[in-house]
Amino acid sequence: MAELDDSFSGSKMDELLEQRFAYGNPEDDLGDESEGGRLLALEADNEDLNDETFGDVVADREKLGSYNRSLVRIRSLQVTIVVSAGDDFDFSAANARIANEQPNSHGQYGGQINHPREPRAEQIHGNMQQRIPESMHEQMRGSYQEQWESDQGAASSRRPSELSKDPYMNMAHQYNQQQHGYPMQQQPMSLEEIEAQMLQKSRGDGRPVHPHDGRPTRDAHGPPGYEPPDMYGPPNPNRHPLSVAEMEVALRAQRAGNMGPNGGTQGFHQHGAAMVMAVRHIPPPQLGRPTPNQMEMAEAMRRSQSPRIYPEMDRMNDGQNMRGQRPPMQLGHFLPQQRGQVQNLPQGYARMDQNSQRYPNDRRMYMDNRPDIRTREEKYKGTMNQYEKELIAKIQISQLVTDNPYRDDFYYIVYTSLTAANDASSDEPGKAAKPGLNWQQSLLLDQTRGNGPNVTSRMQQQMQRLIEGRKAKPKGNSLSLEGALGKISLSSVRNPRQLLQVNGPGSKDGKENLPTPHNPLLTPKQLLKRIESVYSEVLELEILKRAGPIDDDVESWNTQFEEHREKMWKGLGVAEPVPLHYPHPFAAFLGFGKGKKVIPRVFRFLTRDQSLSLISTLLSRLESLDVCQSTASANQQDVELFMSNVVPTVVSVIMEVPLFVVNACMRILLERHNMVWLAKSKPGLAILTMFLSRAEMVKQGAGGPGFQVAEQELHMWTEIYNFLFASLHNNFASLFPSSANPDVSVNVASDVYVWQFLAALAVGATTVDHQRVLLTEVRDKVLETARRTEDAKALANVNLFLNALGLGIDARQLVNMSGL
Amino acid sequence: MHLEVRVPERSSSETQVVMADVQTGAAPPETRETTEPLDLVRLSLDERVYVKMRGDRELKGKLHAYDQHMNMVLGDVEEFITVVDVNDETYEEIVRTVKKDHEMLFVRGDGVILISPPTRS
Repeated sequence: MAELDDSFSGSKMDELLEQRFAYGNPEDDLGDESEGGRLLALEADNEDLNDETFGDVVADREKLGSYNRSLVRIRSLQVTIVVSAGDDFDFSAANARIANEQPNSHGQYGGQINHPREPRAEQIHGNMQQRIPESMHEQMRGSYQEQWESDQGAASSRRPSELSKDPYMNMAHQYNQQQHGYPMQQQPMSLEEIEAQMLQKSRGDGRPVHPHDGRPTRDAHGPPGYEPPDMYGPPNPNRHPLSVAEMEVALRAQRAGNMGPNGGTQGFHQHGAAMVMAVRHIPPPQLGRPTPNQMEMAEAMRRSQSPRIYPEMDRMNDGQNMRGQRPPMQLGHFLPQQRGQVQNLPQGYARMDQNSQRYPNDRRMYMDNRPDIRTREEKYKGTMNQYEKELIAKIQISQLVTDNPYRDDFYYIVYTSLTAANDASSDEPGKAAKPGLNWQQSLLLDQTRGNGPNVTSRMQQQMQRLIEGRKAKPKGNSLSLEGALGKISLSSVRNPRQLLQVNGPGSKDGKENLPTPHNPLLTPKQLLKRIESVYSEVLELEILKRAGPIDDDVESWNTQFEEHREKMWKGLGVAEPVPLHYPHPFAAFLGFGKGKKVIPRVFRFLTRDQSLSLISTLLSRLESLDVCQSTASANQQDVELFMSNVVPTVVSVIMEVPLFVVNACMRILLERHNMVWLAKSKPGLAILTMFLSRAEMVKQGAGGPGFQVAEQELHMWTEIYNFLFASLHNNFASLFPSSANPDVSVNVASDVYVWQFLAALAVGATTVDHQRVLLTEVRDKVLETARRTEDAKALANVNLFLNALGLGIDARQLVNMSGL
Repeated sequence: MHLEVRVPERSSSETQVVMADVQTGAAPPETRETTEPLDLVRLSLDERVYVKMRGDRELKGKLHAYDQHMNMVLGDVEEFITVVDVNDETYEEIVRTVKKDHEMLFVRGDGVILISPPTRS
């Protein structure tokens, strides 16, 4: 194979592609070889071939007889044939098909009587994917070769004399004879053969349609990589040069024809010839609309064998540029887009061919390949009608229906109740449409019913029925089928998979509860435990309170209630008699944010005594509160928490309390704490303000009905007040945090408390002296604040104070008066 | 709206979620005296915690809620992802940390390795 090389040039590929399936003149490719270069033609008996001709792989093909060996050795080169491994010679299949055949009345095989002129479009189209057995391939070639060779000299002779039979039939006959021993009927030379001859002549003189010769076709023989020994025998006179293209075409036609249930060999030949002829010589009028035949043929040829062909064709064109001489009409059987590709791509034809092989749908030019850019909604709208959608929704929701929403759906219930409470004031048209229905019920509600009087109750009845039905058939935790090994655990929301094996309470291993050493100083952990226990108790109490006595069993309800309340009280640690110099657990309790947050809820369940006790403890331990520490350690957030949670609670208690209680509290404060220090902290200020105002309220008789203010109390109160004032004397100005902190924005907010306190002081002033002192000391501050006329809040604060003073002037007037 | 919820712990057959501070209670009463491992997590409710997770991630945030799967709801979270970049040529490994912030975050429990009070650093 010395002269075989695959140095394809671009131009060659161009040419090849142009006549893609109308194989170019094979003789062109043979140009570099003399007349001697001919395709090994199919010969009648292949006598020049022996067992070693093609090597071992071919040996087993002998079962098809000599015809199989007479391979048209196309001068193919290092083409990797796209041949599925081990499937090159589909002998058995072909044999099987034919083996089961019986010749029909005409001695023909095949399910259909293959008239040469009949287009066998359907067959081809349906079975394009299969491979024609090589034998057929070779036979076709051989037959064509024979025919051409025989026609070489003859101008228009139709039947070569040397051939006793029609070459096709000759071949086919022999083939079939070898297979089945049935004689084949002779047939006249078909029209296609005539056309072939004409076409050959049209190609120009002197270029007979000679197939390659002498070169074994690698691809024809087996899996890629197999190379049968080269055989360059002398041209066999019986070998008929036939263009490779033609043979390929014929082969494909054959294959196509072979797809029929019982492929008849004869028809293949003829049809193949027809295809070949048609391909090779397409009259111009057909350019625009290739016949289905041609289309199919083009298809077939593009299939698996075509990669094999290209190199061959390149080879064929070696040394001669026949581009100009190709009849342009041969382009007609290309699809327009492929034609375009042909012209644009000088390289990569094989790739394109593989592409088209991969996507063999050749109707692309007739298909609408625009991308579907509709939105998902548009795409699937109308897939289900309303009834179906509702049905699916109902099935899903009915699984979620519950009779105890507080257990199953707690957070949603709480959330909606809270937001409804918030929105109740703002929203006029309430969104809660149907009373007494939870969301599942309202979703399952049949909307078409309208607002009947019994909607709710009917719905609830339905729910009950659903729930009962569900409870009646419990599926259990696990599923085990008969005959299957193992259990499948069904885990759902109600039945979560248990991940940890934890021993619950009371399942001790028998160990005694060793007494833990009691340390009055609580560690943070212990504190947190306490807080959490308080939370638990509060929650239980709330549940009890919400649920009310079950079945009117007030007794047990009461006992439970008391039980929890006791635990809660203990957790608070208020009552613990801790010496004053020890840190109190309650103060530490309030050191945590969640401790502060639980206080309002705790208060709801405390008795009066307990709450007062709590307050007194709080007051006595104020200095140990984190929020009352100096601003360095006190966290803004914590202070806020305290102010928003604890203080209002205490205020609400104090506002109901008689004067002597106030006195007592104030005394605690005064004894325990340094007033100046206390007044510097916001909670302290707030508390003082609270007491002051309460005292004033009681004094002025607004304390509530039946509150008689005893003289003693008043007297006591006055003393207390004086004491307070005296301790704050000369320090009033420093109360304002703004003096320490130049930041303006913070000041206004924090000043509020101070102004409130001062106002309360002013109101409670017992003597004129007090007022005078007050005014004097804070005078600068007042003026400065009053001057900030743009700040409404600051002005309000000042006015508050001024009003409290009772001077009857407000900030603006004061400024004017001062002449500033 | 800042809604914080705390629900008493239920028996193990029911789904447990423990969160912080609710206005109304719900489940049937069942408080435990003994401390289970998860009770320690309960102590960290409403506190800032440090969570180490799979995928070289760490979270620091305020624990609002947790359950027996260690699913958690965290607030004001800082997420630290540790990334190792390997230079293609020199095979040099560069370790860097990516930080992300989330206002509210739900963490799926199976990715949690540990929970602890935040390291004071």
